Amino acid sequence: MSEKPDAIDRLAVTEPSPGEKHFPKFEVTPELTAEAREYVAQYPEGKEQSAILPLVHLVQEKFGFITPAAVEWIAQECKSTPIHVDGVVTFYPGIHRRCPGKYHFRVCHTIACAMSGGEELIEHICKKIGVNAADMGEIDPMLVSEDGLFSIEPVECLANCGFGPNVMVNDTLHSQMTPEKVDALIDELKNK
Amino acid sequence: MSTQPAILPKDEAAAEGKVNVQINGKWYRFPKGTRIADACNSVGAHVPCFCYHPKLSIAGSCRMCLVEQGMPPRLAPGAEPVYNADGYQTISWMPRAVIACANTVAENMGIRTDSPLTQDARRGVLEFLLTNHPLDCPICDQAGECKLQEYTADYGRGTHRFTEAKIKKGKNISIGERVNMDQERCVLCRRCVRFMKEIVGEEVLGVVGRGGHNAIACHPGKRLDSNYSLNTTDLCPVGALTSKDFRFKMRVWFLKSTPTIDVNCGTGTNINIWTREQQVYRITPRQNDEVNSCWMPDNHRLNYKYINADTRLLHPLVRTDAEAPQRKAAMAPTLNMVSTQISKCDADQLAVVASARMTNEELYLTRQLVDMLGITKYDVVPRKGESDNMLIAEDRNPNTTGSKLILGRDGSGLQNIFDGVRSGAIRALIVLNEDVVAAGLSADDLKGLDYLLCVSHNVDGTTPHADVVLPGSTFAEKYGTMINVTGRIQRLNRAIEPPGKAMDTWEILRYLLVRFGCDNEMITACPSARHLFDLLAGEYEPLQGLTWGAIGNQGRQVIETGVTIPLIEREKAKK
Amino acid sequence: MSEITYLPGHEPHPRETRRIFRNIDRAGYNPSIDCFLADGGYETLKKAIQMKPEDVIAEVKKSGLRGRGGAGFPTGVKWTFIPKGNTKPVYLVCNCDESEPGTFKDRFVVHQDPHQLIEGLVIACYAVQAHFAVIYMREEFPEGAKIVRQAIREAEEHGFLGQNILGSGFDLKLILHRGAGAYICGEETGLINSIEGVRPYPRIKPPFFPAAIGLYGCPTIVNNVESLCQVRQVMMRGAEAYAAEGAQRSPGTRIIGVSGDVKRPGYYEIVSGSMTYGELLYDVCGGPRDGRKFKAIIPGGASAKVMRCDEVLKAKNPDGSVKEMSVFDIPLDLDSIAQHGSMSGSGGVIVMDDSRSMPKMLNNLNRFFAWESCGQCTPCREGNPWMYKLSTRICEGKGAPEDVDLLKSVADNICGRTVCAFGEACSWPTQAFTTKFQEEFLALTKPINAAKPHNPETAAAQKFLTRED
Repeated sequence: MSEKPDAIDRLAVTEPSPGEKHFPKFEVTPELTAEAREYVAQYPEGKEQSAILPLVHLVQEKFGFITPAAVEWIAQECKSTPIHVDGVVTFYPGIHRRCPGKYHFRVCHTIACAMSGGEELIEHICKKIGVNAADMGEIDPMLVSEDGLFSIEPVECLANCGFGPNVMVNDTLHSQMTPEKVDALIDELKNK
Repeated sequence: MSTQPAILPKDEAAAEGKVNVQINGKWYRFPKGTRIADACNSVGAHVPCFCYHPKLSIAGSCRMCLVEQGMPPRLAPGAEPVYNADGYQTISWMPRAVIACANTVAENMGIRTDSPLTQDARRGVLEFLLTNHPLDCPICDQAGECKLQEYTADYGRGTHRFTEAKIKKGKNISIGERVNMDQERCVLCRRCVRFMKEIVGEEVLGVVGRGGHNAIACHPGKRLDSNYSLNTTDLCPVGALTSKDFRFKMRVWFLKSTPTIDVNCGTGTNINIWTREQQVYRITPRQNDEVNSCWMPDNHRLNYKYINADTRLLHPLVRTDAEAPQRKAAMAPTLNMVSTQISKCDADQLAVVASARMTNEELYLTRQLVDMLGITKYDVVPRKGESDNMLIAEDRNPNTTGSKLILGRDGSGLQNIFDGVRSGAIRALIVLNEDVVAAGLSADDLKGLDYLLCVSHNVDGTTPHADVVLPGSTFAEKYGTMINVTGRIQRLNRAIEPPGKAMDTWEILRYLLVRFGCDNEMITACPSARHLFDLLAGEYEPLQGLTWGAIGNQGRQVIETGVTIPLIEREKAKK
Repeated sequence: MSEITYLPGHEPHPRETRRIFRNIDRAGYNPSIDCFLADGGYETLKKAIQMKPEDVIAEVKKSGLRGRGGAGFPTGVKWTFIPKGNTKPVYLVCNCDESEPGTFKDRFVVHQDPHQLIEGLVIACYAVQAHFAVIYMREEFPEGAKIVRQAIREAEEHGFLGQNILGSGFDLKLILHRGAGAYICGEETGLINSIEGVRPYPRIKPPFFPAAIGLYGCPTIVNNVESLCQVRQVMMRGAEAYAAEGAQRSPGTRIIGVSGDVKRPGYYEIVSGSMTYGELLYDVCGGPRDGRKFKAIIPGGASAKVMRCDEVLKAKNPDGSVKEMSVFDIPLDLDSIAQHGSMSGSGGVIVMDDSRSMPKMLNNLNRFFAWESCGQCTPCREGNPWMYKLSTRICEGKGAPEDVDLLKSVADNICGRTVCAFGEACSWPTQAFTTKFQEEFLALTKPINAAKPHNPETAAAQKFLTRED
C-alpha cells in the first residue's frame, strides 16, 4: 500500500507562501536559544512547558510563522513533545503555520465591527491586495498577496468594539477604518 | 413529630466506610470515593460512557454520562437536618445534569438515570456525536462492538435532524505500523491520547486543531509505533482506530471469545481469543488487575498466526530409514511404535527436553514419564530476555514457575544435556514442544543420535531431523494451568480444536504412560486435562485444596516468588 | 480632580465618574511610572502592605466589590476560597484576555495606565500571599504587552515588585504571559491551562476549582483587570466609602462599553446603578442614529441574552405591586437586568437599531462561537457549527420554518451540558434571538426548503436516486 500524504503529513508540510521572502528562514542560533531560555526561566522549575506560547511568539516575531522544525525546537526547549506543541500551535488562530505577508492585516468581523462595515472592509482589502476572498479556508482563512507584502485574515473581536471597524496591521491597531483610509495605508506601506 | 429510626442509615453506612446513595428510587450502599458511573453500573442502572475509562485519568469531555443528581437541602446556619421515616433526608434535585464519571458518591445523594432530564441529556449528546459522524457502520470494522452504535440503538432518535454538510477530516490514515485511523469516526474521547501518555509514557498522540476541526494526530515522523499501540484500538469506543491486522477480516458478531492467557512470557497476560470455525482471528487483552490491568503488548497479541499456519503438523511423521524422507502415519500405530522404540533405549542414554511453555498438567505427566522410565537427564529450555518495564517479563517462558514446582527444573541443566548429545553420551532424545535446534543444537548434533522423538505443533528446526514427529497442540487448543512469574496460577481454555490428527501433549503423554504400564487410573482414565489438575493439587503443597473452578478466570496467587510486574506496580502506586 | 484635562474630543461625559479611567485619554499622561507616581500612584500599596493580609481580605470583602469579568462574583469571598491549612504556593492570575465581543475596557487600562493594574495586583497578591503572579494578556494587545512589560520593569526598579517589597518582607514575581487568540482563554481554567502550556481546554469542576486546584495544581486566584484596579480603589478609599457608592449589591463604578448603532459609542465609567439603560443610551450615548429607532440591546457582552426594546417587562415595586417597564427603565447595575432573563456581564452593551436584520446578527454571533469553541466536549464542539450552519442557511433564504425551532432546540441541547460556561454563552444568544425575534427568522424561511437538499452529499444522492435511465 503506497502511503499518500494524509492528515498527519499535513502537519509536516508547510504550505508555501509568497510571504516567506520577507522573513528569514527559521534557524536556531545561540542568540535565539539564549532568549528562549530566558523565557523558560520565568516559570517555576519543572514547568518549562509553560514557555511554549512565549517561544511560539518569539519564533513567530522573528521568522513569521511556525514550521515543523520550529515545533521540534520548541518542544525540546520546553521539555515537551512535538505532538504536544503541535496541539498547542494548531489550537490558536494567532499562531501561523503558513507565512503571512510582510504586513499582516487582521480585520475584525465580529458583531460590532461587522455592524460598522468590517465584512465589507475585508472584501475591499482583498480586492486591493489582489486576492480572492472566496479562497479563504475554513480552518486557516489567511490569504497572502502574490508579492508577499500583504496578507489578510478575518479575526474575531479585537476588543475595541466601540470604534469599529478595527484593523490590526502587524502590531498596530487602526480603528474606525474606512475603505479610503485602508487604501491610503496600503499605498503608504507599499512605498515604504 | 420525629418518626426517624433510632439508628440512621447514614451512621450505619459510615461505620462500614460507606455512603447511602439513592439510584432510581432505591437505596444502595457504596464505599466512599466510588464514582457515580461505577456505582450506577454496578446496580444495573446503566450509564453510557465514551471518555471514561477506570484506568485512565478523567477527561469528563464526552458528556454522555450526564445524570440527574440530587443532594440533601443545604441547611441554613444552625439548622438541624430533618430525616424522614425511612431515615433519609429529602433529596433536592439539581436542575442541571452532572457527569457521572468525574463525580463520586456522597451520603444521601440521589441519582436518576431514567428521568426525563437524564434521558434528554443523553439523547442530545448522542445526536451531537452523530452529526459529523460519517454513519458508515456497514463498512466500519467496529460495527458490533461500537459504543456509538450501541448507544444509538439505546438513546438515538431514530431519525436525524442534521441536514447540513458534514465537517471533513482525514480518513484511512496509517497512524502507525499496526494502527489505522479514521478521524471522521472519532468522538474525541482522548482515551488513546491519555493511554499513550499515562500508561505507556510516550506522548505520541495528541489532539490538534480547534473546535469542530479537532482531530487526533501524531507528529510527523513520530508515529504510533509503540509495542502497546494496539491497546488504543481496544480503547477506542468507535471505529476511529482500528487494528490493521484484524480490520476487514471478520465481523465481530460472528466471533466467539474464549478467556485464556497469553503464553509469550512469564507474565501470563489475560486474554480473549476470538475464533470462528477453528480459525483464530484476533487476540485482545482481558482485564486482570493483578497481571496485566487492561493491556497487552502488540508482539504478543499478534503472535497467533502459527496456529492456523500451513506449517501446522496435522499427522504423525515417521522416518523408517535414516536416509528416507519422513512419511505421514496414523496416530495409534505410531504411538505404539514410539513406546516400543523408547522402551528399547537405555534410560541412562535417554534424555528429555521438555518445555516451560507446557501446562502444569503436561509437565506433571512428563514427570510421571521420566520417573517411570528412570530418566535422570531432563530439563526445560530457558528463555531470557529483557523486561520492557511494562508487561513483558524477563522470563519469556510462561510457566517456568510451574516447571520448577513440578519438574524441579528451570533450564539450568539444559546445556549438560546438549553436551551429552554432542559427546555421544546421550543416544536418544525426546523433545516436547521445543525446538532444540533453535535452542543451540546443530543438525549434525542431532544426526549423531540414534533416536529423536519430537512432539511439536508446527514444523520447526528440529522436526525435520526427528525419527518420529507427533503433532501437538498450541495454547489456543489447550485446557490447562500455568503459574506466572509472580506465582499466580491461571487457566488456559480451549478456543479451537487441535487440527487434523494433532493431539494435546498431555494426551500423547498419557498414551505413552499407558503403554509403559502406568497403573494410576486417575491418569490412564483421565478424560481431560482439567481432571489432571486434581492430581496436581493433591500432590503439590502450594496447590493444596485448589480446584479448577476455584482458579477462575482471574487466577489465584499460589507461590510467593518476589517477582513483580512493573506496570501493575505503577498502577497500584497510583491508587 | 478639577485639574485633570483630557485630550480634545475625549472628554468624559458629565454623568461619568472617572476612577479606573481617571487617566485614560488624559492630556499629558503616559504609561510611565513617573506619571503614575505623580498622580499618587503606589501610595495605596504602601498603606495596604502595612496591614495584615487577612485585614486586606476583610476590607475587600466588606467593600462588597464584585468581580468585573462577567460573573460578578464577590472578589473578597473568592480570595477566602483558598483551602485552610494550605501548604502549597498560592498563585494569582490576572485575566487580561478581554475577548467577550462588545467588551473593551481592560484594553485602555493596560495601554494607558498599566501601573494602577500592577498596584492593585500587588495588593491582591499580598492579601492572598501569592509570590508568583501572571498577567495573562490576549495576543491581540502586542503593544499592550510591551507597555506592561516595561511597567513591570519600572515597578521592579522602584521596589514595588520583586524581593522584599517596600521593606515589608513580601516577595512577588510578576510575569506577563501572552495568549494567542482564543476566546476560551478567558475562561479561568482554560486560561490556567494556557499558562501551563497545554491546550486551553477548560477543566472539569469539580474537582478543578482554581482556588483549590489551579495553576500547576496549586491554589490560584483569577481576577479580571478591572477587578484588580477596583481592589486598589477599595484600599485607597476605604471599604466603607467604596460600599457607599452605587448600587447596594454591586457598589463602585463600572466601565460600560457601548458599541453598535448609537450616536456616540465608546467607554463610559459610571457609578453602578446611577442610571438606567435608557439614560445611558439616550443621554450619554446620544440616542439612535438619525432617523433610526433602537430595536434591540445585548446588555452584557455577546453571550448575554438580547433584549427587545419594545418588550414590555414586568417588575415588582418595593410594595409588591407589579409595574410595567421597558428595557430602558432597567438600572445599570449588575443584578437588575438578570431579573429580566439577561445579564449585565462584563459591561459590553451592543445596540442594534431597526436597520438590522436580527437573523444576520445572530448568524454573526454563531460564527463567533463556532470559531471559538475549543472542541473539548461534545455538545459545544458539535452544536456550535450546527447552529452556525443552520443560521447561515436561514439567512440565505434556504431555511424552512421548522429550522427555526431546530435552531432553538440545538441551543437547548448545548445549554447546561458542557464542561464550562461557554455552553451557556453560545446557546443564550440563539435561544433569545429565535424566541424574541421569531417573526424575523420565520420571514426568511419557506416551507418548500424542507424538502431541498442542504448539503452537496444529499444533493448528489438525490440526483442519483432521481436520475432518468
